[in-house]
Amino acid sequence: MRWEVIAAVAALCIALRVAAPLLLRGRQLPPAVEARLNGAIVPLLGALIAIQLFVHEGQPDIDARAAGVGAAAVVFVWRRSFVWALLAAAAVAAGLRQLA
Amino acid sequence: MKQVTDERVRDGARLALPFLAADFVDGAAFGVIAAGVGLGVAGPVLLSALAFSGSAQFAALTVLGDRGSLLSILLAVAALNARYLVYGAAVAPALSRNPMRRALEAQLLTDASWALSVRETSVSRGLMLGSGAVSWIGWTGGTAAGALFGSVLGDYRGIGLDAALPAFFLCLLLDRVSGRADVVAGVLAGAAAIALAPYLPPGMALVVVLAAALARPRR
Repeated sequence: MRWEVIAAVAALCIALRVAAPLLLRGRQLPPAVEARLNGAIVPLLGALIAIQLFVHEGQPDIDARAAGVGAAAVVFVWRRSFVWALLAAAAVAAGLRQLA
Repeated sequence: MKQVTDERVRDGARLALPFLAADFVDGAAFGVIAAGVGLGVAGPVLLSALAFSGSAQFAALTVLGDRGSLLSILLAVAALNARYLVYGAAVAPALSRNPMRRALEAQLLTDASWALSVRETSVSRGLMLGSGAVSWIGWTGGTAAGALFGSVLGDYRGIGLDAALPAFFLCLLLDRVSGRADVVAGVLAGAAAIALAPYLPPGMALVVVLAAALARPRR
């Protein structure tokens, strides 16, 4: 079922992305809805970070990336630079793995 | 007509460049595994180009590897990508008015391109398109490389590239928090996602947190 899977997964991913933009067309969202969407950004970012950093195959887990991301936070607060922050994350995570 | 300047697209591409390598190696990992479960070379590349969704594609491979049904694959993909309905609603007013272009632009929505596009007071279509295009090139190019060259690429975790994406989200979060209430909301959402993940199918913890965040009373 190789091609059926590819076609069905691709179609579903495309549909989920384009559904709202096509249904809403160029209309502005009602202010109340927009406020709710804006209010959801910080919690969703928090959840994305937590899932990526602390959940592995459905179970709580922690590894060297957590220290790397901590270093990125320090660098970002200090320099306000995405590039330096991401380099710090990669360097610290890689360094800790080398030590381990 | 919504205006999108080349500069904003370039800004988006520049901001996404630091994790282009991570997208590439993630894509390569997908290509290797997909080729390993019998999808060949053209299949994974086509899937990455059209679906452009790492978590959903890896979930599909997991179910496929366990000889799961097409229905179970689609349920996993729907759970993992349901958040794109919300992302799409958030960016919809900023996209092109032409329906075909709107659909094509929406294809460049990712967690990262959405988060960048809502970084400022109004949604930036240019940031979304620029960063989304860079991710698409990295992901699809990486899939092709992985499917073609497989294990030659080695393990990218050794150089810490897998820390880049969560670090990127944390930087966006730090950029956005404006008070104690935001910090509490971010930390609570993260804790809830970790606590829920073991009890829910892959991706559903994010959906539950998102639903709770949308439903919570406004101040």
